[in-house]
Amino acid sequence: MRFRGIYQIVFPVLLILSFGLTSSVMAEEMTAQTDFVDLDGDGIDDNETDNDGNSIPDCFEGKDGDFEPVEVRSILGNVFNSEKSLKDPVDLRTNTDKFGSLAFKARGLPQRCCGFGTQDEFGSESGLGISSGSGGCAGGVCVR
Amino acid sequence: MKHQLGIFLLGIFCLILNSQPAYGADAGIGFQLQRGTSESLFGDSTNTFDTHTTSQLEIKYYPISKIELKLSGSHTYYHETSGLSNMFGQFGITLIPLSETSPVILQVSGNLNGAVYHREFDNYDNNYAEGEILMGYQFSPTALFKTGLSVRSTAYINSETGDKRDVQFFAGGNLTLPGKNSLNLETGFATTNYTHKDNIFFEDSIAPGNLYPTRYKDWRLAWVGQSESDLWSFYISPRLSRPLGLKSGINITYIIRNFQNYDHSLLLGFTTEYLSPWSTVWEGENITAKLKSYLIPRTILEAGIGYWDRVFLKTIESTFVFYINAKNDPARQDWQVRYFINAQWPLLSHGGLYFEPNLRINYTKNRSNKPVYRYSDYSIAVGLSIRL
Repeated sequence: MRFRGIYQIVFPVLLILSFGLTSSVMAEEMTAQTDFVDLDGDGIDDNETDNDGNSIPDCFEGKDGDFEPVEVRSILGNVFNSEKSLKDPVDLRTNTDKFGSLAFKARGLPQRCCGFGTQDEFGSESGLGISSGSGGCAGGVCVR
Repeated sequence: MKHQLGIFLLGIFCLILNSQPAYGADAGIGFQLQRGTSESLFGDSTNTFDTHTTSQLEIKYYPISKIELKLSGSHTYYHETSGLSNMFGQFGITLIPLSETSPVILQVSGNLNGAVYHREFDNYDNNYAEGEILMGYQFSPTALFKTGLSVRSTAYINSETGDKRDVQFFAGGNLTLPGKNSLNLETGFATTNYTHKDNIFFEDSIAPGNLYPTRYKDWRLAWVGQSESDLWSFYISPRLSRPLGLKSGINITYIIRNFQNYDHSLLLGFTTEYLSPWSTVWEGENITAKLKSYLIPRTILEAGIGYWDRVFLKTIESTFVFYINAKNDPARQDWQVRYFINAQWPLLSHGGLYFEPNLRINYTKNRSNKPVYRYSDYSIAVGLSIRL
């Protein structure tokens, strides 16, 4: 193992510790919420809904959380088979939506860093291919 | 020859699209356009300025709810060094077989990729295939264990060097701590097997550490023989993230990784940072802090600062400049600081069209023990993303 100065280890640890201590104060400002989960590491609760699909959580746009999700609805209007419909809700979602739900659940699985063929998860990663496709970066944009 | 991969991928996708669709099968399409400039395109002391325009089309198809097929193609045009303009194609499949309610999460994916350059730079043409198996176990809504294995094989079609095969294994977890702090810890092992050739310099006047015109490469350097090397690397990376106020979040990430058995082989790096197969292979440390905020209405703002202290493999750079590292020279060591700001303005039409203008600004300052790698780069790009 090659360590270039112990300060390089101590500094990040101190930084992270101080970050955690100050964060407890800021946390008081937040509204009470259960099961806070942040698998993508952006510091924002992954469970915040975005029902209109514009990439901005509804609660940050002043929208209430009572929006009826489209995922699962009973076919209440089906007079020919209303009893079955009420007991067994039909999933009316498209395959895109269903796969999106599975992908959301699997969002925490990918390797974050340090493969020999991947760039750092940092900077203006637009996913656009202005580089070689061999894992390089150019002009501040990285191919992944 | 160079277009065969693209035609093959397109053929596969057309076959899938034309097959009998399952109930609920549907597709999505996305388009991105970006134009930007960079003051140091190659990330070296030549400070090569260029402007680029990139367009990308991506089609996703879901034959059943657990499978995603993806076909994408992009073209990048470089306004100053037009010979670098290239096309990049990818065909990918992702399978997530288990149900949403299962505590076990499994994801299997594979990709075929190809990059094609203009004739004068066809040494960079490359194909790579990659496969990945990821598995996770959800102990509770706030505790996740994950592990994964990936394999990637890269082939440079028209070059004698650069081919490599990477195998990576990693494990880690994510845990929500009191106070809405989230800790993510990841550790892993990676190995790369690469083919390299010995090099012979015909004249002693070639001095390591100096820059020479590219033409020197052809009559003062020869590649002979062929050998294989294995490089092993371990890493560990903690990440701490948490909300910052009501509409923002922040994370701090630290990475340390070390080579275990580098044999100091000299490799053909092509160019310093840009196209080199080896620019992503380094040992050292890295710490970054990133902020994401929704404070400005209808705007997603991201900003970050990062510091890298890393040592690279020894390479001979040979496209726009000719630069030699001697085998007994100290390895290249860089100290880099990078800042970035991204802003996105997502809009949604009544018809469901997603429309997102964006702006990306980067600044990089790189110091190195080798003069050729000392540079600073300011880059800016504006883009537009559309999804149907």
